[in-house]
Amino acid sequence: MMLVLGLGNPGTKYERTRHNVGTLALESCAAFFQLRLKKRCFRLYRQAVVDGRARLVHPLTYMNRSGEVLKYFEYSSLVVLCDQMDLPAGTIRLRRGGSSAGHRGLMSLIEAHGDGQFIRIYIGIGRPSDGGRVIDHVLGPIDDEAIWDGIALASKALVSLVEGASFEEVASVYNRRTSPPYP
Amino acid sequence: MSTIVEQVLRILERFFDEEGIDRNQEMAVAFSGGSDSLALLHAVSTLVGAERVHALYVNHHLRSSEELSGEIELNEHNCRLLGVSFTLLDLGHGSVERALKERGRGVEEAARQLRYDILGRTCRERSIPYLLTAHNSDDQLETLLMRVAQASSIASLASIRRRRDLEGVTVLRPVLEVSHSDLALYARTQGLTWSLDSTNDEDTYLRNALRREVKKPLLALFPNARSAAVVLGRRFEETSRLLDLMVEEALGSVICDDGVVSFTLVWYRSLVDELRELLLYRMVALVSGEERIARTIIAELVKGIDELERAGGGVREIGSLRIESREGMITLSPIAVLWSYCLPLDEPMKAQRIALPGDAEVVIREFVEGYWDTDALRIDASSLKDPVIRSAQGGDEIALSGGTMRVAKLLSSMKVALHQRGSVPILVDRSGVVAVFARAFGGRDRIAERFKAPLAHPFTNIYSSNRRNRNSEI
Repeated sequence: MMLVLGLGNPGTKYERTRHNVGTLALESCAAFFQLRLKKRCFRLYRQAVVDGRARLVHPLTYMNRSGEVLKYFEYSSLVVLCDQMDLPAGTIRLRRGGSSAGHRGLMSLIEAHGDGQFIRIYIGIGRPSDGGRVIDHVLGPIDDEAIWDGIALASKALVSLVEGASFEEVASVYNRRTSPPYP
Repeated sequence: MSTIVEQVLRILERFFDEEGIDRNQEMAVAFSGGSDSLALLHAVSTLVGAERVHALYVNHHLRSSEELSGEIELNEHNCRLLGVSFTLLDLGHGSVERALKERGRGVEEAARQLRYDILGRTCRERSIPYLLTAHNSDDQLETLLMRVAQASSIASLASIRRRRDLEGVTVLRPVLEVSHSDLALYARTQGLTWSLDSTNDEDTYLRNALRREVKKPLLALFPNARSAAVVLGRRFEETSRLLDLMVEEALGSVICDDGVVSFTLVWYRSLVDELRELLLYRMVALVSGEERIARTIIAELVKGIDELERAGGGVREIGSLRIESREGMITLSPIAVLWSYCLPLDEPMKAQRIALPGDAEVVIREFVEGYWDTDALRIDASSLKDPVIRSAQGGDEIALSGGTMRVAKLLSSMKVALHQRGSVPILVDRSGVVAVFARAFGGRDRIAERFKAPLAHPFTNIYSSNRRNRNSEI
């Protein structure tokens, strides 16, 4: 079964922050399938299962320990939704493999998975403007409408993957469609 | 005598006979001043003589002082009229809210707990063996409905029992078969005026909402639902007693030694499923010392034992419980206390972080105006004599504003896990326990009454506890 992780920090404090866009996209995908992510007692994650095809999981660990939940699941393929500062708000990118690029959530996942060979759906949140601190930026509330567009796109891309489209098909649609316009 | 009065007195008389109550003994009535308890007070004083009856009124301070003073005045008047003694038991301002914060089970539950505590204590102090409450068939029906909706155990479905023990005092519910309206009719027939609780109309209380939204329509469909609830309650009580007997008998095959429980797998497998589950509840209660055991723990325990049996032995940990399977024997034990320590605090006024075993730390800061953490403790560190920070031990007691309390009980009320209680840091000096730092373990930091520093004191320091953070949010 496909395992999908929507990265984010736990608790209401972080619910609508830029660092939680992965979780927001995951919830939006679950809502498409008329599901809600549910937490059971003593579990470190919330999850919803789409018709035995995909398991949507929100780890309830802090970002740097996101990989700890992997040990609870058996999966045939892994898809991770996370934020990406190097992409402008409103854009998404699908990639298979790669480094963590300093994202602690991905770092933890790569360690737990054994390698970086899994699909990532990067959701653009842009860099802080006017020399603002990165931590304030990623943990700040989503105040740019474009980020919500990005979340919606990531959710649609994920729906396509869950419904059986291949990575290449989905990547060819969304990586092109969401490219920033040329000057 | 009118019919309703005769009827209630007959029920009361029969109740006393059936339960073997000595009518020459003193009796206390939990008296709220409402129609139910007023009718009970009248009926009991008629039956056993007013000189033997004591009305105990508990002021929870949950309503306006205006309403309460009017109610107390009316209650005193009613007691004078009946010739029974009246005692006002005051819980003090904010006590229910405090209990609610510590126990966290809803206002009604917190108020009930405090009410029974003070009623029991008063009866014991005055050597009154019986405490009568005016629970009636309406209360029984409401309780049963609530418990059904909460999927309660058989024992809980017995709802309100006719009698129970309250640490040496026998609590009796003699009018359990009488409806609320009949008790009101009784009081009216006797020309009595009762007080009305304004919170009875507030839907914020679960019971009030249930009364209006569920009970009323149910009674319209099943007019006999009240008496059915009483009968059902009694049947559940009998069933639960029978099950208790079976559990007691089965527990004979269990070795119980100093909080550790052992039994053979062969015996465990020979039990019927239903009894096995009940036994596990009882055994976990014995091991953990907790009264309420979550159903999920039992489910995990059953699963754990099955897995160990398949694996041919081994060890599993479930919450604060350790299961060990070896040579056909299963042993349940609490997870041992991991850390116990004692660190002298040489400079109690100096800002510092004291790292403790088990990821916890005690932080001391100098007080600055506008300090943000309202849950941190302000302690006059200059008055500490030979202070140490050490782990909590069995006999530790702390003198809080509400009275002296065992640290273990305090930690239990804060729902600190049993296996962590021995690791909770406490600040102790020559005078005893100064503070308990339970925040890092899911509770709250508490300070002894005598060390609460005056707000403007210049030498106060901030003491707080944390769990050392290994998490990062980015």
